[in-house]
Amino acid sequence: MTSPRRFEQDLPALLADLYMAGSPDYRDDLVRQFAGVRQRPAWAFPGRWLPMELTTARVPAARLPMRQLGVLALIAILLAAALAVYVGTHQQKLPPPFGVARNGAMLYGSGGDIYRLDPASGVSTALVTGPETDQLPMYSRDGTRFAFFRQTGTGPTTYELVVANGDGSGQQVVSTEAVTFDYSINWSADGRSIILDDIHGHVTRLDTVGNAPPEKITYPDVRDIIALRPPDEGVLLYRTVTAQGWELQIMDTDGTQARPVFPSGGTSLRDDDYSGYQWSPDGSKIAFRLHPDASDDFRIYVVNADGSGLHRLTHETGTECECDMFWSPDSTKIAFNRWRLDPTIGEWRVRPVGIASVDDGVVRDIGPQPTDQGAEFAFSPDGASITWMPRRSPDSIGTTKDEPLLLDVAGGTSRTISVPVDSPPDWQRLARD
Amino acid sequence: MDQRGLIDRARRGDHDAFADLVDGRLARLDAAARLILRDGELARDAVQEAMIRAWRDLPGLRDPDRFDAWLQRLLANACLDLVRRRKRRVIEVELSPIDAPSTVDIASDLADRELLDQALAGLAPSHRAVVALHYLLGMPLPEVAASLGIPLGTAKSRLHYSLAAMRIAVTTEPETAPATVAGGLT
Repeated sequence: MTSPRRFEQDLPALLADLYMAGSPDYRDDLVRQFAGVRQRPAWAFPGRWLPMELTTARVPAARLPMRQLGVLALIAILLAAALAVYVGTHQQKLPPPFGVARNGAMLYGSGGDIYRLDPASGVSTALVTGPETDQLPMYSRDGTRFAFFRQTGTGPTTYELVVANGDGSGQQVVSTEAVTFDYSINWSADGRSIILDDIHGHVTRLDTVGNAPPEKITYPDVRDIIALRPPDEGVLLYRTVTAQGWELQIMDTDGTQARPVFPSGGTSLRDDDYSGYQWSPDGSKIAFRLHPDASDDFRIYVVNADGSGLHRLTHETGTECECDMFWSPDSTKIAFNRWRLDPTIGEWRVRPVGIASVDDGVVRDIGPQPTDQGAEFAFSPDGASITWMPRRSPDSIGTTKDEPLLLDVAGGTSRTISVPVDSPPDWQRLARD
Repeated sequence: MDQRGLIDRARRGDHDAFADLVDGRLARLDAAARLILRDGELARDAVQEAMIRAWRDLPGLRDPDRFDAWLQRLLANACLDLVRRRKRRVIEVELSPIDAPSTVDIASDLADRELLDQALAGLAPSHRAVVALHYLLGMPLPEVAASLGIPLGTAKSRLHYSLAAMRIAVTTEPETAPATVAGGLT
């Protein structure tokens, strides 16, 4: 009689013996088949394109005596109170972290340096220069500071994250570990931290104000990047796997109160169903992507935050791939990249960026025909314009220069922003008058 | 060229590089598909579907080191998709040709192998998928769970049940084997 342990040890060889039948005779047919299939554009896949990943080694934290900690906390509270009184009388008006705001300057990277552009005058000012390779600047939500990536070491995809004041002064490295691929990154609503998260529920909050060690939390059930609900960021949206398959869920940021946004679509879901999810800037709706009936179609769906009102955004005919959605600041429109499958040759054809009304799903083209990779685009803070430039692969960032377009959302007209950039420009938000 | 180089070329549209990647993996993937589906033609369909999807979606693979796990996940899901699409259709059991004498004691007896094969036939495809990924393709169980979109506990229980069914089939008289879970395609 074979022991259970022995049986398990033998099983791989036994199964191989039963089922391995040499090289299948359909190998050549298979090669011919995929030779006739076109690859999907790299940018048609879920996930953020920023080339980042934080290694997950923990940062040791020193343990402080509680009494000293209490005294320090008291001093900090008194200082904060005094500061609040002072700032209250001298406070600059700041924009809300989400929603409509006034357009400010644009930041862009070019040739390893960071520049600020006045879109009205077209004048550029260098903010961060030097021998380092700096790129991908991103304004804080109140527009007072910005973060950017500084290449480190010899690896082309290893960075540290640097934060600076709006004029480029006061540069401070806020990452404590190497930053490489696949992390999603966002400024927090209050601008005090930068949040990095991966697709495994590892979330790191980097302090950008003081020198606090990174706060790390792991949400075990999260299987994709998280999206924090505006404006308070107290609820996180994520994908998870249940016995019924993929599901879109929300939970409180303390890891409690996990619940589905709406009932799962069942086990026929594909791996990328419910992906690309984003809150509307007012926090009332969620947009995400889904293959209707497990087809090759890849459509944007919209649902209310309470799970009601689930519907497909557009109803254009043909097999469409709708990706890279971007909400307008007033939460009434969604712009997105799109490809259409040409059934005669089985290839995906890129189309101009679509912009659809959330209420009626009416979609119209905006901007020129992009390259096969689609376009990089973003609404201006006032929602009246869209910045547009052809999408490049991450490998070409820093080596390829483009001049972005500024598209008028209402009229569809465009003008070129005559500065060579190697990554999409980022808008500064300002308080409205 | 190393695997990373091949994957890099393939994700940039190089058919020859992808064919090279396929060559080194096709036999094992075909075996896994036949274990899950128990039908040579269906297995061929599943492998082709998985490979074509892999080719089509390769530019979206973030980490080249995950290529094999990703490919195996595509295959398992292609198999289970086929099962869902062909629900209730009767599948004929097909035993693979035996190319060489087994080097494993337990497999030396053709009768034992038939019993094991029958035990696998009595399992649901979803259970066989766990067996195929874990024991035939060597995927760690947490990864199996993630690949199939099921909780780890479910993967463990499916594996436990499958192992019990197979073990009893080859170590005891057939009439004492446990009742099969929904056989064929479910």
